[in-house]
Amino acid sequence: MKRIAIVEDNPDNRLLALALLEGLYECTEYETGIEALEGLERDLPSLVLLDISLPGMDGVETLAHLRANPALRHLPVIALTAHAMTGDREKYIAAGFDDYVTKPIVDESILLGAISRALEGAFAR
Amino acid sequence: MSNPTTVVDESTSHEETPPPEMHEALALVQRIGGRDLLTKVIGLFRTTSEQRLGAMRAAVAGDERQQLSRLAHAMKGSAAQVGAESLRAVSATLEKEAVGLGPADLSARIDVMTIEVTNAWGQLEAYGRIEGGIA
Repeated sequence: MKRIAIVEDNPDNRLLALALLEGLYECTEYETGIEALEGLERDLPSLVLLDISLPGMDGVETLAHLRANPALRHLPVIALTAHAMTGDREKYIAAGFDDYVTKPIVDESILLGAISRALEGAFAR
Repeated sequence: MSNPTTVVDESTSHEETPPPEMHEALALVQRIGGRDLLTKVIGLFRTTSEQRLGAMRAAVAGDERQQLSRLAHAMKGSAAQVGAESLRAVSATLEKEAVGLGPADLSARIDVMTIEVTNAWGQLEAYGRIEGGIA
């Protein structure tokens, strides 16, 4: 079973993401970017779901650290954000994310589709 | 996060009609995990929203505007997750405006937030009872 790291500080959002993905993927949870960067090297996942609005080190900064780390830079990373504004997708893709999914999640097929595409893309790389 | 205190009087909680956004959000929850997950989601929302209200009161008392804005952002995310639209909107406004408001305005916003949290609880209880079969 492929493994997904969920980096999300909000326990309400984490509960739903975990419920949605468990059974399909093996999931590991992190509450902060710093915690994730420490944990990802020890417990390398197949993909990372990364919230943008994390306290302290936000998602974009966390991604920059991840992409600068040779052990982690290859990982597909999907941005999770409530910042749904025109141009956001392009902004986050330009920042190095593989895809972008808006919260709240009301249609599970959007998140599951993004994960499948990102995993296929990572496999093809 | 500072030590939260109970700031919602249970006796003021009253049933509300769940908004369309709540039906949409919680239909997903039921699809994924049925009544068990619905019960967990509603229970966790009650816990986190009450903790955040306590922390918001503490942030206003300590004049910690950035912390208040962060708490409002978190409340917004949780409210959106359960489709509590009115609470989401109030939280989004406070997130944007917390830094520039005076102390009296901040207290008034927290009073409104408290009412909206209470309403959201009532809406969730009603949804759980009517749509989720939660006694």
